[in-house]
Amino acid sequence: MKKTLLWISIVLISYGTAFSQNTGKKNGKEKKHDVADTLQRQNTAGTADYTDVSEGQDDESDAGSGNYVPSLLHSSQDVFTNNTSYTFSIAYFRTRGYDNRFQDVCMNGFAMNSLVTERASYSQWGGLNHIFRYPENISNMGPVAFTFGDIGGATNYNLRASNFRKQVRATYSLNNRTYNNRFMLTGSTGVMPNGWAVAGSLSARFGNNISYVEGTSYNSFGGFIAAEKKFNDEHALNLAAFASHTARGMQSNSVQEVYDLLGDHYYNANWGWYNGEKRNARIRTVCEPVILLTHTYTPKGNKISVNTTIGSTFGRNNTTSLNWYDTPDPRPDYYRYLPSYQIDNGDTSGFYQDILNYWQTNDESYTQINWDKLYEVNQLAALQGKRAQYMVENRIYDHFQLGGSSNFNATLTEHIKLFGGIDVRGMKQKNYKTINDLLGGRYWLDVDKFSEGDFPEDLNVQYNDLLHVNDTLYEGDVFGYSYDYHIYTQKAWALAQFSYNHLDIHFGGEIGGTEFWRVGNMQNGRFPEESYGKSETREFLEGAGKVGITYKINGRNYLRLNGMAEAKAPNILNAFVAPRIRNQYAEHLQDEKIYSADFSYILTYPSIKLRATAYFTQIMDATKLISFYHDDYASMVNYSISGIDQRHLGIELGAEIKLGTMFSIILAGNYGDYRYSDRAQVTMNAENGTDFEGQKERTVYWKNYHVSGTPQLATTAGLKFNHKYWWVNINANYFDKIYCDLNPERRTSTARGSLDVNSELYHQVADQEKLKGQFTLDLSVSKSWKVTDYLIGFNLSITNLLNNKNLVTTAWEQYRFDYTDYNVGKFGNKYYYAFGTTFYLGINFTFN
Amino acid sequence: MKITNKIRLFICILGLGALVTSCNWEPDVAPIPTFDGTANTTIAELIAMHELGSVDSYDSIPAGTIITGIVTTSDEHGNCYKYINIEDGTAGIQIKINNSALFNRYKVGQRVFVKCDGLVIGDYRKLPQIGLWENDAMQAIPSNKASNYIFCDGAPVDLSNPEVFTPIVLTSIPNADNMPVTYYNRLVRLDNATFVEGGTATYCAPNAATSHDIKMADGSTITMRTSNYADFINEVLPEGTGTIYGIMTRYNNYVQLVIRDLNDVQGFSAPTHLETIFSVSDYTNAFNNGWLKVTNGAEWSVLSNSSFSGFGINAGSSTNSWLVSPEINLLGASNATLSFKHRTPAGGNNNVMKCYYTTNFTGDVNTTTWTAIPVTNFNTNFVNFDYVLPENAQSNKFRIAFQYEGSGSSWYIGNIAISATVTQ
Repeated sequence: MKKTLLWISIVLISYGTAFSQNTGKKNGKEKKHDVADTLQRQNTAGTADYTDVSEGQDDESDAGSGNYVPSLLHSSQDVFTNNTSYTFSIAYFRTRGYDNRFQDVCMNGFAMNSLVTERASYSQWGGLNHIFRYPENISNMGPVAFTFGDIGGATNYNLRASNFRKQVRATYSLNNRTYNNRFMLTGSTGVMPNGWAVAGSLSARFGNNISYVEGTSYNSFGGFIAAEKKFNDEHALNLAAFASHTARGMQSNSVQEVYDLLGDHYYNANWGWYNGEKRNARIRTVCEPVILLTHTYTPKGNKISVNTTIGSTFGRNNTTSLNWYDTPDPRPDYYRYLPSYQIDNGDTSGFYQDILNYWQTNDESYTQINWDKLYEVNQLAALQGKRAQYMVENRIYDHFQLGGSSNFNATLTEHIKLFGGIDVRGMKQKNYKTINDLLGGRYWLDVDKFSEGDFPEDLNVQYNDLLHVNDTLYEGDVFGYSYDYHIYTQKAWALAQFSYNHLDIHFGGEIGGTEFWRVGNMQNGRFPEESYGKSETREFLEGAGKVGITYKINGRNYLRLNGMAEAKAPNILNAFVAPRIRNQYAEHLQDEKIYSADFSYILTYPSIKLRATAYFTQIMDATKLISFYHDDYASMVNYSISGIDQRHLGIELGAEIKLGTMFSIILAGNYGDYRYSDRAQVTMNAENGTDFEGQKERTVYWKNYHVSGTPQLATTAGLKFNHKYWWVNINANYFDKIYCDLNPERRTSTARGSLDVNSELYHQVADQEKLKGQFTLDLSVSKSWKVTDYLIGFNLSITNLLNNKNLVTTAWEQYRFDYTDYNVGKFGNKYYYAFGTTFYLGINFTFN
Repeated sequence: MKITNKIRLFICILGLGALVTSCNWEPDVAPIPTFDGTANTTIAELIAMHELGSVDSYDSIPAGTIITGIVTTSDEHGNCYKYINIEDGTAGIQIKINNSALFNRYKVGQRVFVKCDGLVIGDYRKLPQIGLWENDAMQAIPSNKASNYIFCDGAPVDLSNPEVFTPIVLTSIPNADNMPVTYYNRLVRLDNATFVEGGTATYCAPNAATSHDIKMADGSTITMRTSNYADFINEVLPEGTGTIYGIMTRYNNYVQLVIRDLNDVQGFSAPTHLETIFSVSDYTNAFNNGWLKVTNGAEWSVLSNSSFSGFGINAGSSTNSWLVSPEINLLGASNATLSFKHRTPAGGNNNVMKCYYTTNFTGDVNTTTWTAIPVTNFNTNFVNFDYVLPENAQSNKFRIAFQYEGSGSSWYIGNIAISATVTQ
């Protein structure tokens, strides 16, 4: 089998090519899952489908005789993506199993992926759906005009004011998902005679009274403004700015024991009663505005166009959380507060019965955060003049990013187009904690609870900041850790596209570099010599190449082969062994390598559209840093994993079959196999400074275990109805091959010990949990009317109509592992479940 | 392009995908850890560093000392508590670890290496042991620090395999000072050994560690010491002569033996104990669980209250009513004893209140051949009645029955049970 695989990969990669698509058209697909827009997309697709492909190419025999065969159009036509992106979202489906850091998101060609997380943060424009409705999407490895793109594709939002035609649009929607109400109001002038165009949008999302999860909250306000001046036919300048301020009370995840005791898969441990109200300890607040200044240059003749954007994003992303010192864990679902812990300790009477009773009767003074108790403890300490023992901390990420990108688009001959661009960005992110609420306590001392007592001879060890030893800290003060990331990146890319009668070919390359460093703002007592000030700088050369070839058998049948290879700098989040406190880089830091290829057969008849694709992706030398409490060493450890190799294989199938003028049948699915393809290496460092001697290095034996994060099998069968501006969709979906995320420690020799491979205990420790496959059913109805100058739209969508509450969207093994008893259940797997039936009701008014 | 070609292409793509996705890739298996290094000191050399019996005196171990040995102890059955013993052919040593589930990591037969830096050697009542030097005393190594000192190497070996391991064999027990010091803390085998209290005592009293003497063929003795936390304390010491494995220990001037579990006691005539083989756990549902009644006049019924659970009949007028048990399997149950408690508030006698058994119930009380069980001790208060069933009762179709034939009195019966001597 290995040989076959090798052969396949060699063939795929060496011939690995990509497929020609015209880009630059508006696209109905949206990555972010939002019902209103999905419906909107369906509506658009409903009117546009089947009309704009291969006009006049009905006769296959013609196509075979040397005539020009049109190229495949952009991915809004993609029959797989269009029919799965919404229905699969309930199960957190990820196309081809990719993390979303493999998708490039741009605005006016300016990259929005954070240099720190590598991911685009959709919350930056949350709620502004009127504006961000129709991105241009290139899926996977297709040729992209505005950036080079990644294996997960590329998305561009055109935010030029002239892009929005003259219109006033208002939307209200009601739903029972993360928020209840949404208002959106948008106005745009279109290009006015004086050459100006202005567009603006406001949005509010709020309310959380009808929700599956108790104790959550949602408040979000957003605004967008863009103004463009067209100076002449060649030059235009656009300024776009937007921001969204979102504060939400978060949902927790728990172990199955808790869900079973309460009979509720949506239990939320984050809240508790306080002054008669549900108070959530974890409030996430995000406000990260974006400003983009775009110059468009279209010299006469239109053989070339140049787009240049200078952009900046800045702002804050912060989350509150409970913190405590030398006092019981305040989290109600902490493992010691569960009945199973009492049983494990041999107590099945006294405490056990009490605790069982608290959970079974859902005594909220026990099953939720007991704020009164936390205040009481702090107030008693305050009366004695002592420090607070509980508090709410605020974990803050402040960032400032500035950059510029420029790209051109040139038509060289009838057959040849050339694209290219540069992208230069710099970012600084401050990472620190402040005291948000002392909960009635008097003050806080900044000492590390895990280090204290471990090194009695060295008093300095306990202090998080030797520059502020024994300072009494109050609300708003910084404590714990404070450090900055600095990242700079530069890239240049080019892509050539050739289009002939039966062949479309593209190839291109990108070269660039990333450098970064850390600046510590505290001198940590455990690592006084390597925590404060600037770390050394690391630089990484990056590069990528892609090729694609499409054989156009005729205007109805296409064969397409795409390929891509990349070397990406490691993520700064994984670059340091203990980023909160040390300037020390992880060992084995190197570029991550990615190779990907896919082969498709595409049919585009008016009555049937079909795409079948086989894909193969190999990711090599990825890195990951995790931190957890290691029970064998009784210390917080930083676990720096390098050499993570993943192999993603699978097939995608999408088919849409028209039955008459009103009905279509949808069949779509993905069968993937995503696994770790080799062992990984770990370097372990204790945050309290303990030396692990010969045990720092270990190997993770997880080859052939499954990569988690998505159902690897997802299928849908649906029926579409479209008549007289009525659209009805019904979809039956099935998800399977959902795997629990692995704790690498459980796949080391240390954890295995001398366990016999055939023993039950070995399997409890080493086996990966596979969650049960689940069915869901979705229904949506929409209708629009034209009343004089108004367009009125209505849509209702009901997701998970059968109220299936057993679909696990996220599951992971806790990193804590019980080395004493090898009791895997002590720190059981944690789960999030998809909501049962949810509805979305939306009303639109559009006035042109 | 012809349709068939298209289909072929389509199938090709799906086939390619199916091919690569249908491979059965077995999950990786982490190898059993091995120790990268060698021992530089034998355990005999190690224990020679310390003079036994010097109370609260500990000897440091030279830096860089590494010993190795095979684990012989197990706390799985509760008799070894918070230590493991290892031996290397020269001697054995006890390592104190503050953990009560050590058998998960340190199985019997596991080779371990011990880096002795930071450890000290001492003794407890002249039994050598090593532990952590902390706060000016020897402490058990904390559970979460054990892996800094003790390293497993390879898979455990089977100590019962003579090619792998040979225990020290003793047929005679010298006194504590004449026992070679290198024998302590090691797995030994006692041949032709006899429990002095075999057949009459359990391994351990429920509430305290217990000593039992083992007598060797030459008359010398050794004390077997068993913890009351062991999970076999209620078993009866076997009678006769056999082989006993155990860890040789010492308590001042007494030589002692600690067994790991009952597999350490071999070749004895089988011990026996009394076991309840039938009882009525739920009187309320007795008639749903096989009990039958035949009613003529007053009726057998179930009474269940805080002070009494059982059957009762209260006959005002002339009555001839039966109560028949479900089928009970008494095959192999020697010395089976029927017991119950009963009470006759208005007086009783065995002309009216009768008890029987049968091994061939026909379904009809009148056609069944019954053997009488003479109940004698009728009393107005509850009294216990015991009756040893004869050997011919050893059937898998055994039933008992109670018959009330008369009037003007009542009979209450509870705690119905049959116990028997069971051979292990």
